[in-house]
Amino acid sequence: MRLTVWLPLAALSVIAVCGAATRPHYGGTLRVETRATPAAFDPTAPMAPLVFEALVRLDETGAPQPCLAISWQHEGASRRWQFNLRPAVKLHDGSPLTAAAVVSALQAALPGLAINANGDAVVIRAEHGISALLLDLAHTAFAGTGPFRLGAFDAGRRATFAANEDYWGGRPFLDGIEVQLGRPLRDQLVDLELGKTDIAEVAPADLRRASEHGRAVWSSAAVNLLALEFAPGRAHDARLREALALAIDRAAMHNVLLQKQGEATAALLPQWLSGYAFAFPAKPDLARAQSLAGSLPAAARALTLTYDPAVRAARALAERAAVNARDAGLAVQVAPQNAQADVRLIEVRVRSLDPARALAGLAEALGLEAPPPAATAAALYASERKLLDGYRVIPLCHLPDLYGAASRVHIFAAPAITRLGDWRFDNIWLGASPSGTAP
Amino acid sequence: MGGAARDLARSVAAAVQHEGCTLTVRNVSSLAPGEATEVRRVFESELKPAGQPAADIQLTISENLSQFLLVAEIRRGGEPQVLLESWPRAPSAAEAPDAAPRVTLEKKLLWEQDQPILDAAPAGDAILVLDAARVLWVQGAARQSVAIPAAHAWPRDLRGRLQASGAAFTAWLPGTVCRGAVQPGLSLECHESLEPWLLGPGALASFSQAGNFFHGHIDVEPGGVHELPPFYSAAPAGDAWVFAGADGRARIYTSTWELAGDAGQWGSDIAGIKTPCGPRILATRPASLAEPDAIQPYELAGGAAHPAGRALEFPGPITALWSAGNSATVVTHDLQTGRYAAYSLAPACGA
Repeated sequence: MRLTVWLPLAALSVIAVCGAATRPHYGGTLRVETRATPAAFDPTAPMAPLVFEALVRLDETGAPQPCLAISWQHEGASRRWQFNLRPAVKLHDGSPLTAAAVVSALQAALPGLAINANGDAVVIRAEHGISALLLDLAHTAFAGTGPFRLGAFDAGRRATFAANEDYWGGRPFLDGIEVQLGRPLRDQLVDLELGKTDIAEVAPADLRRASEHGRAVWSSAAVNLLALEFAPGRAHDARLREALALAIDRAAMHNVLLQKQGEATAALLPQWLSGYAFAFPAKPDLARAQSLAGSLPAAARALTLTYDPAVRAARALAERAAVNARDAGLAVQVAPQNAQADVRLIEVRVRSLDPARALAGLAEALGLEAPPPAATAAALYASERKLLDGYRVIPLCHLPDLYGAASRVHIFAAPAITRLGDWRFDNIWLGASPSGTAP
Repeated sequence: MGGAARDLARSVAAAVQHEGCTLTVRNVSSLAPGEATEVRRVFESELKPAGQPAADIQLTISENLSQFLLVAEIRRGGEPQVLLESWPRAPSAAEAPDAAPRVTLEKKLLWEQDQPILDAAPAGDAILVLDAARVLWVQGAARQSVAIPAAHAWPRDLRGRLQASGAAFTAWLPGTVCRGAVQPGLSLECHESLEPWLLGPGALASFSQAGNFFHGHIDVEPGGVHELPPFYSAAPAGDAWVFAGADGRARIYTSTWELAGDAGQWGSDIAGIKTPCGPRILATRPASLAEPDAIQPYELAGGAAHPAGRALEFPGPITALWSAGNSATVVTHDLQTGRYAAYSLAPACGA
């Protein structure tokens, strides 16, 4: 059993060992709470891998591994690929997963490719080499074959999942999962402490509290970018945006407000993913910020800054940014959920283990121009550098997903939270339940 | 690695117009110190700075999931210029050569492999090994294997039992029973079946088709049929029995199948063995599957279990423990090598 926890959580993160049994129990319902309020079940959300699967999946290093395809071959300079389907896989409605069904789903998801069935295999052809096809496929979860079936989905309130008895990877230990959506972080922590939930999201400032009484803390890699984003059409003068960027004291934010979780950054991609994030200067340059602010007309030195209260530490970060800005000679007013604000504090998520795809995804989420394909680290750095030119987006820090888990929650194998923050709860089992039911 | 350092050094030299510079190097990657030193040596020899320093160069050896990166930050007054090169990471540790097996006086290594071993059993001077996909026969350097057809998906925490008798053997897996022989060649025939598993000499018990536990329905000869709480494993100790319950309790039953009490906080895998000084019970610790485990011998006396010797430590969790009469078969998952090893365990009396 491995609990993947990305530093610096290691000291806090332990697997709670209770009871006398080593072997996992079958049965029970896992209770989970989250801030997320999706309007529909999102195939790209962290909970999606409970239900959806792809032909291939990426392991923790980003390398493709078999999933619904057990093997594949390519020929003709990667122009023809054949994926051999895993036998005896059933969809959640009980029907078998066929090559024809896969072809139909992939044709909709990957337009521009010739996709055909060949017996129990799927053949994909392209006019040009498609060496990145495995990554495309790993990010195209299409089949309802996962370890859990979606039971009910009450938008913004609740989702339930039931164990897939016929799952090709073995029935999950849990009978089901109940997810409460839209729960504020503070309420989640209270519920965790009162035993009303088994897994709750945790704010960085609450990590120690969440890990008390035998509870464990789980973490993804630092996949959430917190950044200041200027609204379109606002703050036209680049000197104003640069002055704000140079005034920000990210280290203080990281050390104090975020309890040293994740990393302070001036880059879009996190260091673990790009390897070069440190090359984006993150230290404040107050003298230059003051100089830039001083060159602006007095009326142009005022900004309004807003935030979504659901973003972790949002208010504290926004207020700290305002204080930093004032030190530079800017007047920044902070108010939550102000649609007319010049700047907003946002949280956007890295959704790929491939740095180039992750950067493209962040650019899209931030409304920035799509970066060109980058085949080398140097090209990727140049693309990221270009995206940040002009200071329309000011990165502050990368934060991991943080969860507190009740002491009765155990992990059999693999991380319960992947590096990207996906839920792998099929390997979770519950220790002795209050009712003492047999497995 | 050297190529990337050379290429970057040339780019940096061009950027500083082959003037003098100061160089600082740091390694924030997992590259070994010796390799980092080599990177620096190659970079410096290619850079060949000359004259008075006109620039500061911070060279950082970094990494991401798939590559090592060499990042040069060149400072000459204004905003630093960043140049970088990269090279692919070496294959993962999972492909590293295997570590040598650990053997102690108390245990004899039967077999080890990358895939989880469910059980192993001596068959004459050969060894039979059961895993999720096959039965393997090993005799010296000779090996044969036959595949186990997967009629249905195996449950998580798959368990299996192997019993050899002469040239024949039986393998039980959840919902499946396989019978085979090692002569004239290795053969195997499997079919879906809820046939009870061999629990111990003269004892059979039904096993969950989709789980990792015995239902609690056991048939003992002599003694008849008994219904007990679900359990993970059982150990005969003379006329008495101990069951490691699925609820975490290890229960002691008398020869008349009366509950004598709890044995204590044991792990879920236990086994009974016969020794010259009487029956003993081997029990794992109540550890998690993420930490090294140990096997503690116990003696039953007065309706209670008493430690009867030193615990035998293993380098990882114990994933299977089955009685083999005068010995036991134990499978451990070495946390350092990632491999599974099956041992025959014959603790000396009074150890």
